[in-house]
Amino acid sequence: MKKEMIKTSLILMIYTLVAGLALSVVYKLTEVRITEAEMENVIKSMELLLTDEKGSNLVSSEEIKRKVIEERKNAGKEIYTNGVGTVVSPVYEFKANHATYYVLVGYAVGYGGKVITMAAFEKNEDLRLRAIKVLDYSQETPGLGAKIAEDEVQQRFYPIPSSGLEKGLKVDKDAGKTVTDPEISKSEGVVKVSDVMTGATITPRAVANSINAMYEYLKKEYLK
Amino acid sequence: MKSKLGEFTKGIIKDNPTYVQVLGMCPTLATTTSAKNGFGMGLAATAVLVMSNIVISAIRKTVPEKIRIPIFITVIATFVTIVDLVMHAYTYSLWKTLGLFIPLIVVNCIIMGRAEAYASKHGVFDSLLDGLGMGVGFTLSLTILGSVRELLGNGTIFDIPVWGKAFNVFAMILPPGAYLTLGLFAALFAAIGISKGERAKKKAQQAQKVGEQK
Amino acid sequence: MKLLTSPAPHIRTADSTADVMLDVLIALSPAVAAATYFFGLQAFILSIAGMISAELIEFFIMRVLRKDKNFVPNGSAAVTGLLLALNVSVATPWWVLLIGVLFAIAIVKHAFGGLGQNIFNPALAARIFLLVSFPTAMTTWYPPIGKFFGTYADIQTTATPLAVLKLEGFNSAMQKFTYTDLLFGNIGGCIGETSALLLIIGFLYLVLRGRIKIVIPATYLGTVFAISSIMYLVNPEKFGTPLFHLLAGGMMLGALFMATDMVTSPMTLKGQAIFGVGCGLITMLIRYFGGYPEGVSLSILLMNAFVPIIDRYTQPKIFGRRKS
Repeated sequence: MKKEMIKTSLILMIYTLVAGLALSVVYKLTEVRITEAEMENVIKSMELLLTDEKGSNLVSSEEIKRKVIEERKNAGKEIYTNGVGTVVSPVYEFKANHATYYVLVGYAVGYGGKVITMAAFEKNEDLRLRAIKVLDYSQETPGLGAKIAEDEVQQRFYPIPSSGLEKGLKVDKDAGKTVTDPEISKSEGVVKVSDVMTGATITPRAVANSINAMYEYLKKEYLK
Repeated sequence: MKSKLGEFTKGIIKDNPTYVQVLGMCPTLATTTSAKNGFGMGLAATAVLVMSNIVISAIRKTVPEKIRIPIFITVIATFVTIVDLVMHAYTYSLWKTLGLFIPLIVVNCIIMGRAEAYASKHGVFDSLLDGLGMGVGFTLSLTILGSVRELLGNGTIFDIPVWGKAFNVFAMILPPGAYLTLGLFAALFAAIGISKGERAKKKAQQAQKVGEQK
Repeated sequence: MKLLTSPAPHIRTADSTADVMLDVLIALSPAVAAATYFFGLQAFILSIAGMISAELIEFFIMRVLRKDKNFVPNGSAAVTGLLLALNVSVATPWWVLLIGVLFAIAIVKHAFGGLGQNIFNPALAARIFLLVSFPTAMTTWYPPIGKFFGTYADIQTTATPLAVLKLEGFNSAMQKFTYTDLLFGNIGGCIGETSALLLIIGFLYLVLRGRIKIVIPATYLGTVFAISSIMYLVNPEKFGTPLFHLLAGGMMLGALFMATDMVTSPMTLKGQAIFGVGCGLITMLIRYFGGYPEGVSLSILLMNAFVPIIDRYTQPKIFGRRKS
């Protein structure tokens, strides 16, 4: 009886050892590429945000890449929250043309989980929102909240002048306003999404909350 | 040679893991919100299935009966983790979309089911064919399911617009649509199976009649 | 095959299913007239389209798919089709209604076994299916016109009384709608649910003809009255009066015509009472604390799921059997 137990335990141990070895080999082989893929994702999103209306880069790709690699160790920590939205480190700061650009990543809770958004702010005379990209909406309902992925929807969230940011962004349903022109309402901090995201308010609300948190952090803590 | 081909093709219709054996329902329902997602999940599961079938078949004579389940799970989990790492590195966006369901392949009944029912009792090449066949059947099932749901719910297939937003039935993309479509396909397979069985019975009866007349 | 059992004695009647269904259609005709008056021509078209398409689909399924050469339409599909039509907004496109009818007849009714075998009320299940599938079409309400076979010149949307109660409170609801409005049906909502009065008249017809299980609406509405009275005393502004809840939304249509569906409700009186109380309870829970706009439909469907077990546990004792 005992001899059998020892034998089976030994065999099981050998199998798990071999498995562990195989896994560590594969891990080592893919480690570099995985970090690259993650960083590429961040860099690509940032490049998208930091292009002007004509499509040319405001900040060079090399500089973006350099900044992302530089800040790699510092990334991913929660540095600010206002209860609904949370900001994640770091703040990527770029100086170009006559302005300074700040790229932040933040999240808020949507329908099924976190909705992670990257936002690019521009400081010239005042601080305004240039562009956003929703990075992660995987927990939202396909066909409803997940429509936040569409460019047409995300474009409702930018650009927002400082007057709108000061008031705090709200989706039109929460603001209680019927909005005729989405562009005009942006200066009042009202984001019209009810026509492009019918029946799904929770997800765009999360995006608005995360932008507000990022703006608050910039204004109150970072740019003191 | 014919029987070898049969080992491969049985997984596609006759013993289809999704609609006949009713295995692996969790990823089936959850990842078929679009054709692409269903296809990606099918491929990932097939990769694990083939590799684990080969290994388990190779070690089948050395595994003590009592601990075969923990060992099978170790093998399967190892391959799933490898697939997860590889997808993370080389197919980032698909990896992101499938998300939690890649590690869940470990508990996909198809893989454990084939390991226990087939790979642990047959040779390596046969197990490879079986795994491949089941995997292909699984992938086809998921892709078709995903296509129907995507088409009815979003007006697209593989992101190619067919009729756009005009006639979208949202419920198809939500869980109810998954259950409905799955149930209807399973009914379709059952109907095909029944009519085949009836035809075979008729043939046998006719053959018997002819034999009696002689 | 499900063998229906009920306690003896059994009375043989000369009535067929068709006769019962005809009575139901007659009972619903005042509500259809109200729908045509309040919501115009489109409401009438939807009602007729619902009935006809339902019978056509059932005919096809029975004759072609189920290979029943002796099948004759018995009106049960028409009732389902009409009930579904009465449960949608006049803003609903005809093809959306068609999809709903297809779902109700083909899947909820026939895939579950056909007449007498289905577990869930087909019209209600289809209504929820449509609500989930076409959220905008199903939650857009037009104000009443007030002219038989009228049409909408320009389209504005309105809110239903229950929506106003939830968002703005009871006082605001009472400013916008009077009890007379709620009783006669001069409000926004599904085309068949608005006129409580005409629904009650139709229901009384069915009672006189002996076609309906009275216990269910009695217990359902009684429970609603009891719960809403208590909650009204707790917070009138937020919860509204009992009368309001009895008249608003799909309460009358649901309690009188949907919960009493022969096939999907319990067989014994005790079971029916349990069913009615359960429906009332869940409806008020959803109306007060839930986020969904369809308390009545959801509660009836949930209770439908419990009917088999209710029937099992309320089986009457058989004479002459020893206790074992």
